[in-house]
Amino acid sequence: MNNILLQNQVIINLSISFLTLLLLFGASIFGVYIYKNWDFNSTSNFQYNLEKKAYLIVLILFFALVVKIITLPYFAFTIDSLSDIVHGAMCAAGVVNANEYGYVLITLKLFIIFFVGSWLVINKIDIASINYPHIKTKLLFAFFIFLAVLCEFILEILYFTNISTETPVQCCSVIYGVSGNSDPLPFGIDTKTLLIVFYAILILSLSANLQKNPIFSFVASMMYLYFGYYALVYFFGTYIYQLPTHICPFCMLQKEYYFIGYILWGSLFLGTFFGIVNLILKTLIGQIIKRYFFYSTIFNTIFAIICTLYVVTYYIINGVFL
Amino acid sequence: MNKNFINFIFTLIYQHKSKHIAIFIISFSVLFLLISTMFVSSSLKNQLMSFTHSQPDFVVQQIKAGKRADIPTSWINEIKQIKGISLTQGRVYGQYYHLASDYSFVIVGIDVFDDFATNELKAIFDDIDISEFINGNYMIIGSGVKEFFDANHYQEYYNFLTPELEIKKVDILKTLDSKSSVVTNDMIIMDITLARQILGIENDYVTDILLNVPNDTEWQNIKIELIDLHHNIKIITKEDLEKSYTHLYNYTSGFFLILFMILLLTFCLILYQRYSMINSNDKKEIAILRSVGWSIKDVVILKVSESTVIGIFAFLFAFIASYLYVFFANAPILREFFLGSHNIKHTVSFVPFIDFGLIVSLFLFFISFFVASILIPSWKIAVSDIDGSLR
Amino acid sequence: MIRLTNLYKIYNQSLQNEFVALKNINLHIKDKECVVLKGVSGSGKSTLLSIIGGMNKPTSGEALIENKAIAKLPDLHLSNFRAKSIGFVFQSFHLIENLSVYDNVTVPLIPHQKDTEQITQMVNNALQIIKIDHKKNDLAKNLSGGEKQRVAIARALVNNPNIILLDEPTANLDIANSQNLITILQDLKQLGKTVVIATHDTIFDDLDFVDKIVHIQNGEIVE
Repeated sequence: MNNILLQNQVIINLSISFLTLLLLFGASIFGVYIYKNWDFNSTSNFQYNLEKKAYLIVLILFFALVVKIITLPYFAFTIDSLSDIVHGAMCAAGVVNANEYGYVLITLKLFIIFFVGSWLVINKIDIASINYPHIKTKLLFAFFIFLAVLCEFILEILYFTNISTETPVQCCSVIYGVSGNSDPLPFGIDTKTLLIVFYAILILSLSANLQKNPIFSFVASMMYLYFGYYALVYFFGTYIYQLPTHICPFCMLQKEYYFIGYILWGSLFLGTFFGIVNLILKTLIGQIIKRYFFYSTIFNTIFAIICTLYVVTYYIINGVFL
Repeated sequence: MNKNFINFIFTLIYQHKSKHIAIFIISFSVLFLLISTMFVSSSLKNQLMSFTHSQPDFVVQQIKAGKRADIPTSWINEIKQIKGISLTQGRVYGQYYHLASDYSFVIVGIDVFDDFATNELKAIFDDIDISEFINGNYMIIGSGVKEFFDANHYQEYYNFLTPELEIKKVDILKTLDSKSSVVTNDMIIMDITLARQILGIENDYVTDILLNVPNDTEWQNIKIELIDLHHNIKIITKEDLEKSYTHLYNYTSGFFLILFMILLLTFCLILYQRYSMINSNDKKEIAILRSVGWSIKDVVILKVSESTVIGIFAFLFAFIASYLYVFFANAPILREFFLGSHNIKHTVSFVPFIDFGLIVSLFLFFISFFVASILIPSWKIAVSDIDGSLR
Repeated sequence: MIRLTNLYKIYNQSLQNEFVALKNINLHIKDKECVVLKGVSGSGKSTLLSIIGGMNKPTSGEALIENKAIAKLPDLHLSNFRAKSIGFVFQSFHLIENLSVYDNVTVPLIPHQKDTEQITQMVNNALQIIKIDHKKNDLAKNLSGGEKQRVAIARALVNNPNIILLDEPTANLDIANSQNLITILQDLKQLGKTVVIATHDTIFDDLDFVDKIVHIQNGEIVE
């Protein structure tokens, strides 16, 4: 048997994933049943029972959200702990890179959280109205989330079963091209351009949020997520580690760096979520929640401020840039 | 959720304590077993890791016809010429087999005039008069060996039989305490010349050579240079050692975890059943809450939080109890599973070591299954018909 | 204000054991009125009361209470309605036996009221109106029947709702306690509450503060 699959953390990850998958499967079956029989105007007991059944779906989705949010950093912790037995890996970055599924899986995990979060926002609007206007949208969306979680589970199995403990992997600086000659940054830009783009997109997303336009906000937030990732990993990260060659998205989650990674990634993800949720709401139920633009602005700004502070502090203390 | 809500949850739990106690006890027992096992295995693993950590970076052996062969000491000087190596030391190392009791212990010969390969080794010799150690036949023994000697009525010394069938009387100078005795348990440390006589190794020969290479990015280069020097060698790195131990222990703990998963699933079924059996009293109580204006959502939150609190408390209590059981009481019964009764009886005392990552993992694992199994019962009771329950 | 129009309640509809509990109920109760629903047990008056209280849903017809059509209201709204607009006093009181009097009266406020100080004030206020505040730390199970009912009324009043519904309030009381209840009801009426009492007891027949007596027979209002 594959050694990776016998790791405690891997077993826990997979079993919790399976548990949520199972619950969501149940919720989907329920959802299909409710979808087919729903008739709000009926005064039959049957219809009242359907309304009650819909609450179970809410409960399961809520459980899924909490579990998915907690298991995202736990997943990072798991692969970090695998670096002990994967040759060549010094931290999670090496392990994620052990096969082609790693980064896809993490991205999917993140987006599932965005989806479930949006679902709960729609649900909140729905149950606060007097006639469950969005119930069918909600049920279809829940089914979609189930499919996404199914994909996630399959990917997770593929990922863990395809990590070799024999073949050495490349880690951190090697992957991210510092010692190699590959060009790691998107569109072939250099670090300076990356920074200009990053701050430009920050301004873009702030103004999009000010205009309260869901499409602009969505585009700006997705770009901010994308470039924020690269800026944090390739530039700001080196100031967090105070080492120009240390390029890694995971190490900053460790206590050596005062767990700053949780705050940084947390604010980036929250900013993105509040930036994109309004377009999802607009598309699915035709209304938006304006204060989410404000939240998006807050979290995006926090992210940028903390990142910038690392560089500024370094400059003030050492008088030079890295 | 506000302060009053939380207060109310605790008031209700307190009032219904007899209802919750069974679930609490079962959860506690399952967790206690699980956490104790994890404590034992992570403590052992930690000791092993600290042992391997104290090992030199490289161990070089000569291989002839697929077997390890003794190395002439001239190699040591050759290797010393390689740049980047901070320490090169010959070691005499071998097993001494005691026929009558079918037991073998490990003899390590140390050249005390050389630098000590590791700080741990140096620490052993801190309170020893080196000239005394050199001039007589003395040995430093692990606690397992001590027990074996005691059982054979050798309190002060032991008579070794050399391959030339001479008897060597060696006095016991010091017994290593059992703090990290998993590895040093069967070990005897003595002067290198004495060790050569007992193990039958010629002078000017050693069994292996220890190397320290401080810059770990140089390891690969040093390896290549060593192989250039002598083709018939085997190089064991500290990394290899650590990985093999990690493998070993993760394997067993992973296996345990799967066993516990089965246990946990059974437990979830019990939990599900227990909470599904809604008696008319519970039903009435929920209906009262609903009738005075609690929504389905409020009741679900109440019910789920109630169970979660029970789960968290069970975990906390099990954690504390396991800590006491393993690190203060030395895990009676459970240790037998891990250490077995083969070879000399292990005199292990578990060094308190908590792998917080593992505790967090277990907590996540337990609480997610625990809460998942009460979701449906909680919902069911929350949506039950108010009017019907109160008639 | 309570306005019921063409209200039906049918249990096990289109099944063998179909049972019509309420048949074409049309009823209008004005604000601050005190109305007695009179009928033998099984006549449907309790079902009617629980529909008014938002704990049961009519099979057809309209129930407009405090300007809310409650028949099809989703749970979140209906619960809020029960909490804010209705105080319900059950025949067998339905207190949570293991909680103290004080805690029992707090229960309706917990999901809706965040401020602890305000909760304390509202609970003490309700206990004082019903004159049961000297027992506030006793467990509900140690109270006598009359005291339990007072706690139940205090609980119904704590959110300061406009409508108080009482189901067979004298069924579990002796004569002395029934007389006390009448005094309390009089006070409630003076506080400006709309009071609806479902009962078969003749004690309510000639009370001057009762504005209307509605007779119910086999699920129908009879004149």
